[in-house]
Amino acid sequence: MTAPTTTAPPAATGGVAGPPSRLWVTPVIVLVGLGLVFGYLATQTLDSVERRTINVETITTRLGEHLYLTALSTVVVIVLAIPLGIALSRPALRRVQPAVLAISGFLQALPPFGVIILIAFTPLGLGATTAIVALVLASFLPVVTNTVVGLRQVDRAMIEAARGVGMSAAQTLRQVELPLAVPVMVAGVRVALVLNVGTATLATYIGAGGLGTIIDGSLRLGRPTAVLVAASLVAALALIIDWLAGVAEHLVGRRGG
Amino acid sequence: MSDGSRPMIALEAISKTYPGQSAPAVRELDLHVPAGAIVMMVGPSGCGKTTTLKMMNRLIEPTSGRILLDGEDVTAVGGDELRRRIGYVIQQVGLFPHFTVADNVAVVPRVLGWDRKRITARVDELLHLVGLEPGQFRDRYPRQLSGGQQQRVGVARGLAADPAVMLMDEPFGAIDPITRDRLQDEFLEIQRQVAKTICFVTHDLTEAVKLGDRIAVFGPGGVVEQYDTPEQVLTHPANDFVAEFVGSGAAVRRLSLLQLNRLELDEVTVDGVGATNGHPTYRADADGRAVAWAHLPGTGAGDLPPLVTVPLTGTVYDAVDVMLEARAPLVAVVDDEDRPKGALRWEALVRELPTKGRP
Amino acid sequence: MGFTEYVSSNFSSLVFYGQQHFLLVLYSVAAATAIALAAGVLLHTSSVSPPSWSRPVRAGSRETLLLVSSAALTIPSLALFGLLQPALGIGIAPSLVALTIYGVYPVLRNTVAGLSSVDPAVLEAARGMGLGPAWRMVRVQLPLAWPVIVSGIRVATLILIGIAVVAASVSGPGLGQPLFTGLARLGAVNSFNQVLSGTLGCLVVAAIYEIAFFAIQRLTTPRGIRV
Repeated sequence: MTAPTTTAPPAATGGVAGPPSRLWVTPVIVLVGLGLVFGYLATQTLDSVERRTINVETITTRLGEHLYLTALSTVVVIVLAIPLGIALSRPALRRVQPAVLAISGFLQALPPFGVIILIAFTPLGLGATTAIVALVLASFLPVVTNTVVGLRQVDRAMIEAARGVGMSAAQTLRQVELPLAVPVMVAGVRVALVLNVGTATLATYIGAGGLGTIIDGSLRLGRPTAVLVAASLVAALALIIDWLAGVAEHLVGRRGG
Repeated sequence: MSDGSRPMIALEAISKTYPGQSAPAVRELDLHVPAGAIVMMVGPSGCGKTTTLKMMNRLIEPTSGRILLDGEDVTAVGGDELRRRIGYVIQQVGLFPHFTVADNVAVVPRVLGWDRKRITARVDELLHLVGLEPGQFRDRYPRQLSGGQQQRVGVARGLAADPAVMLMDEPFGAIDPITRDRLQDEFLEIQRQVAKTICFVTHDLTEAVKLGDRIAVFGPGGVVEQYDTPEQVLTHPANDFVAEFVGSGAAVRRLSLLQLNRLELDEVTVDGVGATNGHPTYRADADGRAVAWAHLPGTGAGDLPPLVTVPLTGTVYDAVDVMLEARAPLVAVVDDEDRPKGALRWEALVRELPTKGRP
Repeated sequence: MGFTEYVSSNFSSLVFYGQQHFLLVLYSVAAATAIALAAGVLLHTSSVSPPSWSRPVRAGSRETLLLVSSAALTIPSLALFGLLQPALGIGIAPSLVALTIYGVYPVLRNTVAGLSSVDPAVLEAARGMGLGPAWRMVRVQLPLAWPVIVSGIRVATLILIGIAVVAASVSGPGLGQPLFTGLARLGAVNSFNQVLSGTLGCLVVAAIYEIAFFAIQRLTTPRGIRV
């Protein structure tokens, strides 16, 4: 089942996953893109307002905050969502799978923006913790879905063969099912990562910082140049993280193959 | 066989070299296919037989050489127009899964602009021909059919616009042996009715011998090693390659490839009807079925062997089996109703087996 | 004021925002689908594109387009809406353009995957019968790829419903309006209800689309390939 299913295509929400042979493409795109943006920046004379945001110190701080939000939420999602996905693919829970997948697709329509603000109304209040909880909620279901789909597309014959030679259910999962499901699962994680980088820009609205702070502030002050710089940094960050995941997958795959 | 007349398909010095490969897949190949004949293209995989077949309807464009269809040079005419005039059947069938059986069969007639009535009549006629009751199968979808039924529809689709030529690329290759055998029999029956010129790729020598009027044995490098009747290929392989492909040294294997109805059998006569003329004579029951030998040339009345029979559709191998089993020096070859059509004697086996053309 | 009370007293304006949201997504998805389908069909190998576009050229442009459209998804929505403002002003225009940009990738990806998942034997048979590239595309490849394409359109729709709230940042229409109002008045009376109604409203819009897609899938999937 290499073709996408008609119900829930695994990496449907994004992901710049390409064949491993094209691993050089993303860095080139990022470098060219950033080159264009900063080349454009060099032709502009910045006013005092812009200089206050477009400087090394501010950008590094915001970038750091952005990375913190993204990285932490991703780790939490991976730790929680992958085991849940595995559990859902076990015989005992397999019956609820279709329902989970359908709901997971449906909840994609839930605006992350609204979710972030709603969580700010809980006792968590404003701040980075709230932002991380919101980011986890936003990317949780795509990772579960991809784990389930990845395990589901493993050839039944392989599993039966593994059981046939006397492997236990746990051994079959560890040595047969998971390795074969990894590509699709990694695709899910990459989607979650990319989405998280973008969604994390909204964290500024609940005082959690990040590159969104530069975007929002410059939008309010009508400084599109600063918006462009921050936005291209977010996009570059997303692409690079996705690329790193791709490289990791490639290395793991090569070791396995 | 119309060897003297103009061939329906003629390949003249046709070559194909795929881009990026130095050795040609098909090299300077000449092949004449007589009208109304079934030519079987056999050979090991990678010998260019499928490439050759696909050059006949220009699914693969030849690198050099000419293709003549009924005397017309079609090397440069529009490929799609050419292909609409040639039936095409492939191993994987390739029925359109979203079309009904009738729509699948009707594709080419529709593209050719036949009127509705004519198409409906043609579809029903063809479904009948391939043994699918139109009322039952017309509106089914391909996934509701078995593999054998799908290929029947595939054959009907290939015949739809009544092309003079059919190209078939291992059409029965993916079908289970029992169904394949039945489809082969039906295929011969259909050919008796439609008399198309057919090129048929197979890797199965048994199939080639069973179906072919002629066999083209392809060798490595895309050349034809031998192009002759099945009997000649089996009994007189042109060279070592063909001999090895047929199974050199395994003379017995040839026996199982040769059907009795392709042999010149000894005449037999019924006891009590006119003179025996030195032919074996048998006693028959009221229905004309052979019961026992009455007289055999050179055998005393007390030494008559038991009368054993083998069907005309059997192979020489079957006849040998029956004779050995019964310790009989000859076997009566009988038709569907058990009436003897001739006899095969043991001594004849060790001489050259006399064969005749297709019945 | 409780949430139910808030919804019932503001029902007509919420319905209005919901309608706007629905239509905004509808138009953007339609535009994204038109772009993705046209590109996917034109760039498909053995499709209707001019023969001078060699196979590697088509495959290359297809890959590039997929890469660019997926990279577009990494642009933060807030920034994209804002960046389009100087060129397109505020309101509907930048909202439509931004959402269309986000919608192309899922549809394109599934169009490419759907078209190339058509059984090669079916296409070879079609070619062998003398059926031209346009006939094959219209009568065979598109119908067979259609269920996969529709599921791509569905995914694009669901994503756009969520992103479309950000349109309100450039005074665009839809459920982002109550959401942004609530955000601006954070802590004030009803600010929570406003944010909640905007967020849950998206799910209502999504539910309507899901029903529509269910019907579309059933009605437009050719009978022979229905599971």
